[in-house]
Amino acid sequence: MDKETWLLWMLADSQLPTGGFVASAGLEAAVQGGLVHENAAEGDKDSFTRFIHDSTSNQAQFALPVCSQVHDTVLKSLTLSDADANAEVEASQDTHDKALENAIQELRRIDAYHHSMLASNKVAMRASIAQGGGLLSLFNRGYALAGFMEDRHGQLCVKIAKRLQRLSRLGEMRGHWATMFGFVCVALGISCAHMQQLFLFQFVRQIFSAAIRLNLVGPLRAQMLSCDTQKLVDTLLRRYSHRRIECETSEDLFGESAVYTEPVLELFQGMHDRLYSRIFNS
Amino acid sequence: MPAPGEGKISCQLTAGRLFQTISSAYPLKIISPKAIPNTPTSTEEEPSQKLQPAVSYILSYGGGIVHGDQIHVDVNVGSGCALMLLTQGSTKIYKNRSGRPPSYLKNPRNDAKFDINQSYQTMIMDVAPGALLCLLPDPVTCFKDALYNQRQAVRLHDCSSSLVLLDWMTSGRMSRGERWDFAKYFSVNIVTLGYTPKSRGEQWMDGSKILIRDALLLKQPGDPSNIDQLDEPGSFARRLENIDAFAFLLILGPSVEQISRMFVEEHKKYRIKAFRMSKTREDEEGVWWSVSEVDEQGVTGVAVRAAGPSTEVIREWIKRRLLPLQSVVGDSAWSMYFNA
Repeated sequence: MDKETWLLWMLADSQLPTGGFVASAGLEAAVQGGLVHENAAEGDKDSFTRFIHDSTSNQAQFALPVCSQVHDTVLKSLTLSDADANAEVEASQDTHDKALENAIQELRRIDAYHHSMLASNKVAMRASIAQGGGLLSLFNRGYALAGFMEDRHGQLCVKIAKRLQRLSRLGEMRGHWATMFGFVCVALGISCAHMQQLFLFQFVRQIFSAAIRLNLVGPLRAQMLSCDTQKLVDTLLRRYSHRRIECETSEDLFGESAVYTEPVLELFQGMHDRLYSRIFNS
Repeated sequence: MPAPGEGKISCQLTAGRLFQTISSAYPLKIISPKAIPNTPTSTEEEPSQKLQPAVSYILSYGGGIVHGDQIHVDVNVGSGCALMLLTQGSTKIYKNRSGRPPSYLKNPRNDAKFDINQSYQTMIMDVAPGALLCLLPDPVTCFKDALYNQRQAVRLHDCSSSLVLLDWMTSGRMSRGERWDFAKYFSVNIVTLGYTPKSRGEQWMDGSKILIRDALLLKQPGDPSNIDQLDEPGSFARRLENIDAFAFLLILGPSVEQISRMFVEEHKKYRIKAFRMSKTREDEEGVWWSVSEVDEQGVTGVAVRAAGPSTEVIREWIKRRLLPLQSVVGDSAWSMYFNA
């Protein structure tokens, strides 16, 4: 069994300690607001499957391009540091630092842009920052100390992660979920395609686990519905896996590289803090 | 001479006097009726209305936008001014027909930048320190098969600049039975901070930080530009079955702080109790709504989302909540919005 597969299974585990269990991706508000009907298992599963479909395709167009962009960017910095290191042994330390600074600068830029995309949706923003922070500290306190991180790439990524943690503690960076997810995956040597699959898989899994705890579906029915979701995720990946966020020019900002497609879900998610009783944070 | 579809609106306060300049070129038309500031009553120690009001209507020949139209408006609100931007009746986005657009007038600036089979409306709006911009148009109505792109950027020069931005749309030509039948509606609203005329560059974003970017895309799965047409269980027409109008409202800055506060207070009172019926939940007025507080680098306010069964319901819902604007912009400017 290779390292990447092993890590993928670890990251896909529902026990992954990033605090994801407090998020329902807007499902709780949608249920209490009446958009998704209770007892979905009996006869009326439509509103729940529609919720999964809509929120997942939204995630694929809104956050996935951010995640993919981070993977590309960090990988580029790492490769650059390799090329230079091979060419000139003396300059190695210098290029190492340059790669580090470059990666951090790019991560901050992407994260800040992603933040502006969430600035008008406080509930989603809060959840994204909390989970991103959880994942980064999991990396720093867990994966960073693993044996396989001792190579050149690994050490460079450990340094980047430490800096990111400091920056977010100082409030100079938010550390959103999509940014941190992309970074942690590339740091662990997970390919972009696998990361994209994992990103959407986790999103879907989080909705199902929230649905079970909200008593919307039973655990067995959730397994069945989850099987059906594979086709959807596959379609979404084929359609949107090439997307990257573009924020270089004014026309980029006016472009469609990262968009929201579900205004009603966003509206309902905004009601979350007004729920009389709630078990999730978002 | 502005290029086709281009316009400029500028209002500046010089020595206590308002100077408003406008220019526009076919198919765009801008008119600016005079708005009279409230005369301060003698009992007030300090006049409650501190800003000089101005009003501009953004109109188009034919009452709407056809494919190939590339509307571009630059707006500049100087310190001490409160500019209301209004329209007359909803902006209709007509059906996209194949072939050369009917009113396509070549704008050299836009060469190769836009797809002539779609329509575009772009607004770049500057709000100087202490100024207020209220963008309160009628809703956009996209006809069947329309392809529309609305791109709006507001540059707040600093944290004392204020903004009321309403961006809303209807499901279509309901009287014709067209609901959510358009091919594409793309609306992006961007708010930046820190721009000064000195930091001006090639790009409108130069010299400013992006605070908010809210981009909404509604696209039919059957759109020809969707390469991979796979089974899509819920097109947005189905998803929005009870909704015929959707509004996004941004309230930012000190001049409209009272409105932001009222939204937050009202939202706090709004309690959703868990309930077990299969019916969607709206308030007494038949509106679904939520408020998100915004606090980015000193710019504070709210983002409000509201959806309802008709344009009129949403219009009234919003108007009632914007009432405090009356004392900010004065009775005369307010009535042009309120009584429209």
